[in-house]
Amino acid sequence: MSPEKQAAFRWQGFEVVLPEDCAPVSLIGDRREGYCRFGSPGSVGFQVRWKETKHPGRLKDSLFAYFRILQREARKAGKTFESDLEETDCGIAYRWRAHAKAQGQLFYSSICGRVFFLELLGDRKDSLALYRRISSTFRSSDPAGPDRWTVLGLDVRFPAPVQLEKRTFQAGRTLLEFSAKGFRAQASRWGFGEQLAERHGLAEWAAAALALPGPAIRAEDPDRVAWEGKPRFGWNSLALVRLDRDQNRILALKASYRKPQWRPEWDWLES
Amino acid sequence: MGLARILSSTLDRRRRLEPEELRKAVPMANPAVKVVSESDSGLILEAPLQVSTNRWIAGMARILKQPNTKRFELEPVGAFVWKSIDGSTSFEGISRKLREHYKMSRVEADAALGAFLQMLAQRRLITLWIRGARPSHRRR
Repeated sequence: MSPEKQAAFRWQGFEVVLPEDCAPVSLIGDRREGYCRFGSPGSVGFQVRWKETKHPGRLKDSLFAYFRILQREARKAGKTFESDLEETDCGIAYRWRAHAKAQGQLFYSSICGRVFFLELLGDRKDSLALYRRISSTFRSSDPAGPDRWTVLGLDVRFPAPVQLEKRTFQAGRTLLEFSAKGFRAQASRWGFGEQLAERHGLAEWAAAALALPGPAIRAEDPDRVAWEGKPRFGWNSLALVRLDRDQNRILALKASYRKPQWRPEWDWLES
Repeated sequence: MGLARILSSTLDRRRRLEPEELRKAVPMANPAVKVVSESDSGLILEAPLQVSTNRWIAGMARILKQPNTKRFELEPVGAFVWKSIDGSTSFEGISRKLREHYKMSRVEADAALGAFLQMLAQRRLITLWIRGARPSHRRR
């Protein structure tokens, strides 16, 4: 993990700032319960596990259950398991060392009513000095407030929580599909934004890439294109496409909505 | 590990590249590949086709006037990578150039470059030279 450049990761109502060379290798679950693991070019990885609970009092039991699993693994690897924990104001900070080593924290967030496990994990030779910096950037958000998702260059926000339906991560393209009551949206991020816009024209490219039918596409300025479809069965549709020259990317949001509060605005795509 | 996986790993002795090895690996262009045209919209490569050792097939190819070269068109980003393949710049070096020139993140540049180099290698336009690699690994 290289600490030079950093990038925010916002997912399922929490955010953490990680070194830029960290990439999610496993994203499981939903807002109630889930797991994220980030890999790096080296052997150091970071993981976040979360679970909604109404009884946060048994943090230590959860930690000991985790340690028992690690002890079993260490025994199989012929290593001794050593652990060290400290109760803090907000939870339990711990370290362990066996076939690998890790530094982490287990705590309850009263903002969102979830228990979080944060852990930086590496080989025995690796330094875990970055843990403090990473864990200090961790925030969980109010489940009733605005919802922001940031992953692999895609950054999109919504006025209220949405549910993630599908995700596609490809080289040069990140696509997330969301839903809420009376709302469906596809948010995408495309690399080589300037090259795509120069070669095809932003409006033409957006019409083809997002399958926007008809002539209803309009360029609001050289770097912004909007498309509005005809309402059907009470559903309105709107697409916003923005070329971000600073990061050479195109951010696009294509949404169908019933109520006006879900009508996408440009600031939903502002970083 | 399933039986199929054990069998596959026993029969296929090709070594899987570790990420660290890949970073240090140096892509080298096939010397038989030539750049035939170059413009703002990319470049066109020409590579000789392998001639069949079977006399009948070689004769048929001649009669049917089969071309003995194949052309590959690279778009501007592909052309940028191709020009960076100079036999001394490593994967990491090319990735860094991509990140600087196209304002990409490291993860994205590595993924895109890895996929592109794999495609070039499958078409035998390049080969990857891995420093310190032992040549004893048998290829199927």
